[in-house]
Amino acid sequence: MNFPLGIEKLLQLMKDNKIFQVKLKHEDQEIEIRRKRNLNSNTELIKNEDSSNNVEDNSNYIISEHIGVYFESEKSIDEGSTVKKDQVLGYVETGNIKYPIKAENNCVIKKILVEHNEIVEYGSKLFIINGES
Amino acid sequence: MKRKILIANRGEIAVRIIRAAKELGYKTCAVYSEADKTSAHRFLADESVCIGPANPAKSYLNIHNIISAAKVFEADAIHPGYGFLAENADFARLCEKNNINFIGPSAELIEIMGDKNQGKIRAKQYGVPLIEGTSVAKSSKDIDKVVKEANKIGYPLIVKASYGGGGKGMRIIRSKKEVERNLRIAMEESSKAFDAPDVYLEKYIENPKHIEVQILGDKRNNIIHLLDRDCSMQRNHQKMIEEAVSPTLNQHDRNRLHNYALKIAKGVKYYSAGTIEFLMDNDKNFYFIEMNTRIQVEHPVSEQVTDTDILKEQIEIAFGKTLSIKQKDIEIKNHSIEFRINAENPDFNFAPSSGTIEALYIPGGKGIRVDTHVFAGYEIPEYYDSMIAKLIVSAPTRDDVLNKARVALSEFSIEGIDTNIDFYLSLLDNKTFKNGTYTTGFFNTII
Repeated sequence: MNFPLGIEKLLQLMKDNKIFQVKLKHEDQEIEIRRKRNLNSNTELIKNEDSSNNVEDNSNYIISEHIGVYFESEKSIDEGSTVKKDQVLGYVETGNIKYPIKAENNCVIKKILVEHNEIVEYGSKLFIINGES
Repeated sequence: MKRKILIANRGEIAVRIIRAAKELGYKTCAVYSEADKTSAHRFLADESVCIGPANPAKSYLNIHNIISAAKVFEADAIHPGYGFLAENADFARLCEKNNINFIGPSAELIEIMGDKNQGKIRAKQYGVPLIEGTSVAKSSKDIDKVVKEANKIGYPLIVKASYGGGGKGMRIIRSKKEVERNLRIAMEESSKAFDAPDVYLEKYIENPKHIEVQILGDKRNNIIHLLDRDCSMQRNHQKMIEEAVSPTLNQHDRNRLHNYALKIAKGVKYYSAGTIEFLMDNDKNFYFIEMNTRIQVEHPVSEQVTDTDILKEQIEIAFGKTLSIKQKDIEIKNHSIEFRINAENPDFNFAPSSGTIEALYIPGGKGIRVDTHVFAGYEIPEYYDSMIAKLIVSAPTRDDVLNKARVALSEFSIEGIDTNIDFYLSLLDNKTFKNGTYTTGFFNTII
């Protein structure tokens, strides 16, 4: 197939923009590209856990209790922002049900570990937080 | 696009299902609990997803999370294995509602044959003999009526939970004065274990043989049996060793047994893999006990004896294919014995043993099959069943199998934990085991 934009460049754009699926039509040709979500790269998961264990000992995490696709909340959260108890940080969607991910307490989002449209499982770490002092 | 099967189970059966599915060309998705992060099934599947914490109620029995995983990972089918959700009609129905193919019989068949009383009503209807029993006590109001019925049948009797299995909730009552108290205790236990107090009493047959028939049926009403298995070697009603075919049946009795099983399976138009269990008394009378509407732990001995693959047939049946085997193809090609290798200490009343497997040597050679999920370095989680492997030994004659088993069990080396391997080695010298006449009461005679 000869698309005006090279496949490699397209893949890079998808990665940079956190896009997991793209459908392109060019004249009579059609192509669909799906980026593999990295949930099952088992070694990577274990590595992540090991390295996260070495990060700040007093860090807390917001963890997913659901299996589904993560969506950012309408009001996007940035790293470093302060959030209030029960504030919705994002959603995990399964089927047609959206489960809100809420802050359990007032806290600061130190790091966002999950990407928009990424599959999360039970126990997936979504955010590193610091309790508000 | 390749179709995908999610395996809603753990341990050796998850590994067995993943292998069968892959051989058939399906993609596989494993689910695991936080305690099974390093379990083999997680790594052997094409994909894997954590569904909950160690507690099985919150992971392997968590219907919501398992269905969510199947939806998110776009699984076409779910194989429930054995235990956990395998005989849960609500789960089967929910799969159907979500357009997921449940690899097993329909929810209706699970309801009919999974409920022991319903199953018995059907068996009676098809002319299959039953053990005499009472009606079901569903609340304390029913106790007087059940006690009257019990006295009429005579003792000893056994009290059973309607929704129980694997020996749970069973008590033996030897006299009239014990009956009411035991009935009340059993109802309380059943409420806790199975969420329903329903119990009943039936005539207790002393030292019977437990013999079962493997069934396979497709959705086009082709139903066959894959011969019988003797599962009389039990400890506390839990099977330890199973063999195919039963060593004490002559051809006439064997045919009689298979015909009883087929009457039930054909009567309910059963499809998928299933097992019909019978007790046999000293006079070779058979009594239907129950049907298991799922794949069983001991299915490999039937596979070895008939040279079939029950798991693959079960998967293809679920996807609407016709059985690839015909009844006329089923004949006794071998003898086969399965030893359940458990992490337990026979010297301390078979107490479960946990810890890390420091070194592992698995026996091999012609006629040796080991189904397992463990490996050197594997840490046995304390939350689940103690079975860590199944050693299946097959050869042309039973004597050949016993000789081969001695070599295989001697070679089998699992370091770092206690196992029952040495117990099995000593059992090979027992006369009653050697001549195959052991009954379900045998275990109590040797301990």
